[in-house]
Amino acid sequence: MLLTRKAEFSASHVCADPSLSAAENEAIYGRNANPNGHGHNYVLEVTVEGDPDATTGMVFDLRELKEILNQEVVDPMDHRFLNREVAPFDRVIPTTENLALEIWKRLEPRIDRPNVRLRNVRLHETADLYVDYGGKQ
Amino acid sequence: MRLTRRYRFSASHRLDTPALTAEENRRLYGKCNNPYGDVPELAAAVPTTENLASAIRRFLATEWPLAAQLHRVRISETDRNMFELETGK
Repeated sequence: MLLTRKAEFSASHVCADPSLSAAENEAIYGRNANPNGHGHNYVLEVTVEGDPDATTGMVFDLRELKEILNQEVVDPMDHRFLNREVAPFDRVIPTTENLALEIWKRLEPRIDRPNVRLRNVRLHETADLYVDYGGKQ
Repeated sequence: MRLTRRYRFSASHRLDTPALTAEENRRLYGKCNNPYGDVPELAAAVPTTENLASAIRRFLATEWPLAAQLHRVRISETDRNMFELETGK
C-alpha cells in the first residue's frame, strides 16, 4: 500500500553555474540565473510503501512521518536562501531536480525499515511544474 | 486507458486496538485515540485509513460489475495525506 504525505516550504534560490559567465548562465537558466535570487512556494509529496501493521493498522506512523519531513526538509529549508544557507546548495545548483535528489537522500535513511520503504519524492516548484524521483533505477 | 472518479464522504473514527493497553493506545495513536463515548467492544480492524482502503477495495472487488478492471483505490484522509492500493498488490 502507498501512503503519501504532503508538506510545504518557501525558499529562494539562484540557478547558475559559478564556472560559467553571466551570459552563459542566462542562456541556460534564463531569469532563474538572476544572482539576487527568486522564491518558490515548494510543495513536497512523499510516498511511502508498505503493508499495514497487523496490530496498529498503520503503514507508517503519520505523526512520525510529519516530524521526519519537518526535521529533514521544512525546518532546514523553509524561509532560507538555498544557495547560501542550505548545504549542499553552496556547490550544487538548486534546480528542482537537485532539490528532489537531496530530499530523497535525507529522507531515505529515516524511512526505510523492514517492510517499509521510501517509494517516491514529488517536488512541485510551481503549480505547473513538478519532479518525481524514486531512487536509482 | 484509466478512468478515475472521485467520491467524498465524511465519517468519524477512533483508533484503538484491543491488542494494546489503554496507555499504549494513547501513546501510539495520540489524539486519534480520544474516546468519543461508547466504543464498540469488538471491531474487526482498527479503522485507520490504511484498513479503510483495504476494506473499500474488498467491497469493490466482490461487487465489481464492470467489464473494465478495477485498477486502484485512492483515499485521502485530509488534504495532506492519502493512501493508495493497486489491485493485485
